[in-house]
Amino acid sequence: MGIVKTGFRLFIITLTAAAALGAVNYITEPMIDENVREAREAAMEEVLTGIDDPGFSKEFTTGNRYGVVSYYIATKGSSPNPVGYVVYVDRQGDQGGITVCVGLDAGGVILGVKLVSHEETPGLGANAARPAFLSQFTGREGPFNVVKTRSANPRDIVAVTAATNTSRAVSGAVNDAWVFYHEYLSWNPGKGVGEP
Amino acid sequence: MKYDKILKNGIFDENPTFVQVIGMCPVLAITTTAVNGVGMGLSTMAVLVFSNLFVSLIRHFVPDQIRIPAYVVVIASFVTIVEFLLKAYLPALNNSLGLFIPLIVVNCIILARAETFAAKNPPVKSLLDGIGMGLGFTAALVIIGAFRELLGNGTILTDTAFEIILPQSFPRTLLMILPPGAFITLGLLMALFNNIKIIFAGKNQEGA
Repeated sequence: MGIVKTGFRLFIITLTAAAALGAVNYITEPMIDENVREAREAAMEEVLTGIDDPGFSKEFTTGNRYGVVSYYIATKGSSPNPVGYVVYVDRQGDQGGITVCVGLDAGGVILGVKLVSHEETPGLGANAARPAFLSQFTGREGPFNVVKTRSANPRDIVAVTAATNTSRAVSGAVNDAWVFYHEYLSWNPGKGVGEP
Repeated sequence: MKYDKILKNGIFDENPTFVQVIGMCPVLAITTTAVNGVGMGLSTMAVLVFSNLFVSLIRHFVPDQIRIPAYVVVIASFVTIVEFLLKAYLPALNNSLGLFIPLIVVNCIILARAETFAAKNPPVKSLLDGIGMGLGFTAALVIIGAFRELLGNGTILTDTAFEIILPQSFPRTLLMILPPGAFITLGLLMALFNNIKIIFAGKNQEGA
């Protein structure tokens, strides 16, 4: 079979594949965006433990101040006063980047922490995504220290067994959010970055 | 080859993990728990079944010289479509399997079956080959995963309704869920599997 004919057949196969991919993408893209948005909103409500049915501001990006990527202001009902904040922090984990979502109340107490995305080892670092580890932050204030055995200090967080690096990364991300609260949010309650 | 023979071939006689020893990267990397094994195994099987079917359907159209690029295009497009559909229609399933889906494209079991079986056999047989090999792969992953999870973490089927946690007095050997544990487990299970095969082969000869 000549090179032209062979090349033409490969072209037909790739063309069909590209057309199929384009068609599927065209149909599914808006649905995927919607699912991602819903999942994000569910995660935000989840980290604001104890605040029922909060309303959220638009997303404010911070230009990576104190390691924080972006945050949302939570309000309740028609009152403009903030009842809490949801802060997204990116950090380097043990195996790759991690994204942590931290919920704080208006006074800076941690309400909940969620590991939104990570690439940690299943069975080891990935265990840091479980409530057994993350619930330790709830109801406490930073700055947090990672320790290996249980202690009475309310700022100590017990590391996941054999995943100290991941535990430190998550705890560091929560500290970033906590510092951001004290350095910025507590001085500018209910305001976005750059807003008057 | 008879249809039931094709199925048995994939699960037992030519088990992709224990006999052919292909697709080792996911086997070693993700088998830290039995649940991971189920997820990776079933998603690979889904892709394998359909890529075998498609490759078999276009086998007379694809000239010999360009068969590999043609198969790669078919497999990669198929995996991407599956990923899009999962994300759009079954986001919950995507959350648990999503991690494995991009890894399937580079799993050499898919390309190996396209090249050695689907390119030479009619669609129905290729489909069955995909099911057989997929089941064999899933079974291997689950067995390795269960073994490592049990010895390394003291649990089986974590995060499911069937979760079993061994008493704290049972020693956890962390090594088993670290990479060396994967090699040790794989070696031991391969020896066991081949031993069983030899015993079966001996019995068959006595009978004949």
